[in-house]
Amino acid sequence: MSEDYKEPESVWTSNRFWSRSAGWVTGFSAVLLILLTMDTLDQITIGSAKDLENKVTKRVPSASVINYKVTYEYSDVRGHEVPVIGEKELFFGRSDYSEAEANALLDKGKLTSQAKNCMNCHTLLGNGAYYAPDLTKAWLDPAWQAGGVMQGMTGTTSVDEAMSVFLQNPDKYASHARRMPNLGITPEEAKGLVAFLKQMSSIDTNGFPRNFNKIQGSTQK
Amino acid sequence: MSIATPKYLSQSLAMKYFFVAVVLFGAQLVMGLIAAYQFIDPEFLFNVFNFSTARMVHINALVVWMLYAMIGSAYWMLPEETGIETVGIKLGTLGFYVLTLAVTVVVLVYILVQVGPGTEASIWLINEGREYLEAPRWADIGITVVVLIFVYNVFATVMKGKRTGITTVLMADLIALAGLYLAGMFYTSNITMDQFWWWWVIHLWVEATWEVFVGVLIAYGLIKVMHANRQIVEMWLWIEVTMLFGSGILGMGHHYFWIGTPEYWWEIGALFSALEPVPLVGMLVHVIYDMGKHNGKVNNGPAFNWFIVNAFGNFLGAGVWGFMHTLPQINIYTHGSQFTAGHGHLAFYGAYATILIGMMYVAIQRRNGIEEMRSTSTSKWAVSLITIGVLGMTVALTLSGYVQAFVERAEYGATWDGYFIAQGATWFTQGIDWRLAMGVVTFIGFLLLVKDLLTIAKRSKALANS
Amino acid sequence: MEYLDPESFLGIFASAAAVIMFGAIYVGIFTLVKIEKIKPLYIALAYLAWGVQTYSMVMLGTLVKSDPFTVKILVAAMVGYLLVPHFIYFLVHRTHERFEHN
Repeated sequence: MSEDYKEPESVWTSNRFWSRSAGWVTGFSAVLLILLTMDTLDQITIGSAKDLENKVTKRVPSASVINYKVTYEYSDVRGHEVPVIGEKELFFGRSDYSEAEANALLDKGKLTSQAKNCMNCHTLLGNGAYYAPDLTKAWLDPAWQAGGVMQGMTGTTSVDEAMSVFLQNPDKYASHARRMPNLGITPEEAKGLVAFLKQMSSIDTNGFPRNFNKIQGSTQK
Repeated sequence: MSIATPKYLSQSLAMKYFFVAVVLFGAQLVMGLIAAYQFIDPEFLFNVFNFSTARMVHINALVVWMLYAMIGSAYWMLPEETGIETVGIKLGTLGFYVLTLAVTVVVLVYILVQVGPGTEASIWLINEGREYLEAPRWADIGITVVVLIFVYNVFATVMKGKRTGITTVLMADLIALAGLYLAGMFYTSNITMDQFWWWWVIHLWVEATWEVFVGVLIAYGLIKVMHANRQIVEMWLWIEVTMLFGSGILGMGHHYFWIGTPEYWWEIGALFSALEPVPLVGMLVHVIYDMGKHNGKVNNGPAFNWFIVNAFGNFLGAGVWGFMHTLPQINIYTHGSQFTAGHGHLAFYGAYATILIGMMYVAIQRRNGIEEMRSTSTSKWAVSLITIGVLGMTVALTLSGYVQAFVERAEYGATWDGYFIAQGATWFTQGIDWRLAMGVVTFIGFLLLVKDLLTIAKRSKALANS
Repeated sequence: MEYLDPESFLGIFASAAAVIMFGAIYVGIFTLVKIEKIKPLYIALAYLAWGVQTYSMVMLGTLVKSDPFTVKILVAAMVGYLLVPHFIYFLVHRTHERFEHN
């Protein structure tokens, strides 16, 4: 240390003051983040089949949501679209999947989405790559509904069948020059992926993507 | 005072890390070019080497080369800061070879195997399929072990040798950086939960701990290249840490707008994102002050140039491009569009690539005992072309992203139809074309950079002897 | 959250970029004047840049349809931003005075 070192004249030029500030500010922010995380984790924990039966709204509904019809509707209270879980609906010919069966399907689908690297072309909840459409609300997309291009092309009559057929041979059912490659998806994996997509469409994403339902009703004449 | 330092093994190891970092940087650019070209000709390598594979290697090579260069920088600084050889350097060197072998295997599997069946085994052996964190689980564990060796090296050395403000911040930051990686190492079928923790790794790395790491490198660089006063620099480092962590940790909120997390993150995200430019303001005042006082007396021209590009690149990439779409009201239209890609390119380059390349020049200079290392014309061309290239890509992608926000989101409500209509819009495709062109410019700059890194020491020595 | 008019997107991106850019110009000129690299007169330009920045911020707030209360908070934040460089300069200057004697 040089001889012209002086005792600190003020806190502003004190190394000690700033190193302590750094510690306190970082610590305080971290504690706040952890508290918020605890609250958020509570809110984003996946719901149960019972919640669905009792019409308890969860931000992330149970995999059993595949037994129900999902729509995306404008909420006056929230000021944006929210997923609405309606009556029972057939999913690959059944609407009585037990919670364990539904969980197994969701698990298969989520694992497949990772193993097939979906996220490096598509976005999920808006995160991923931008080479292919966002999958957040794919289940609800007009392209997959009755009268949409995908059911016509795959020769199917329901969203689940259309998606399953497509996923197993995507390069054969190209709607645009940019095709999806053949990733060797098996029928079982395809079914899991469709369950995963349906469950994802029921997640409350605070209105993302914007305008989704509005346009479906207005300009998609 | 001579600039020559004893030949520390720690610094030899640093050079090895830098070497692999540059190789991976090259791989990143080649993969980026392939992916950019596939946007224009989607049949290129279709079903052989798909976009998803090219893009995966593109972003993984990015993360890994930066980590390599960061670890290298730490091994470089360590003996100079502590005054002793790094403790456990043999183990550290072994760690380097293990890590490099693992990275090679991972990349080969990415390229040759690409995807696996939808089972846990694929996630353990092939790829984890989570953007940026694709490394299979076995590699995650391997990386963690090697990083623990690295952390041990740093801690043991600082404990034994001299402890400075720089090494204190470095130690604290490394613990956080390494610990956060663990948040990305588990599987869940709940996609919202998955993304929630994914951001713990990604955000708290690139908007908090990596930023502080860069602060450490800048502090070291200011002392060595501009002969800045250590006491001032170290006090400023603490102020920067205060501002970076104070705004960055809760800045996490801006990633929690749309992934299924509660609405209160809108306000938290907006508030702390607005604070994130404050540390940049701090750096700006400080840099101008220092440059004004020192009148440009520097002993390493190319490193200094890269540091300057860092200051402005960080400001533009993180500051301007970040703030442009960080408010939730507008982010709902830009989230998940090429806008994000534009921001990503300039922010990673401006904040990280620049400073790490600068560190490589500092290492080359000091390794070779060059008192004053001036920029060659190759160094100048390299920094100019890479900067113009990345800026060009960013502007082009922003243009494309704007078309997406406008056409796909606002007009067509983010339907698949809307997506493809936007992808075909003239302004969008022009942006994509320009991105490729600017990618080529970046690549040419990279080739010149490699040439310069390999030859500048010899040239400088010849110049000194003549 | 209000729906935005797509016609206002360009204005939003431009005003957001302007907030940061003019913020940098303000800080840059301010610091240069303080270290006496340029004439003190230029300080007027610095504060003008801050004015443009504040105007951009209000424009941004209005375009994203913030409620009037939020816009008031934004203006208050801009007053804070006016002070930040003064404080940081004060810190830099004091540390240099303390540790450097040349």
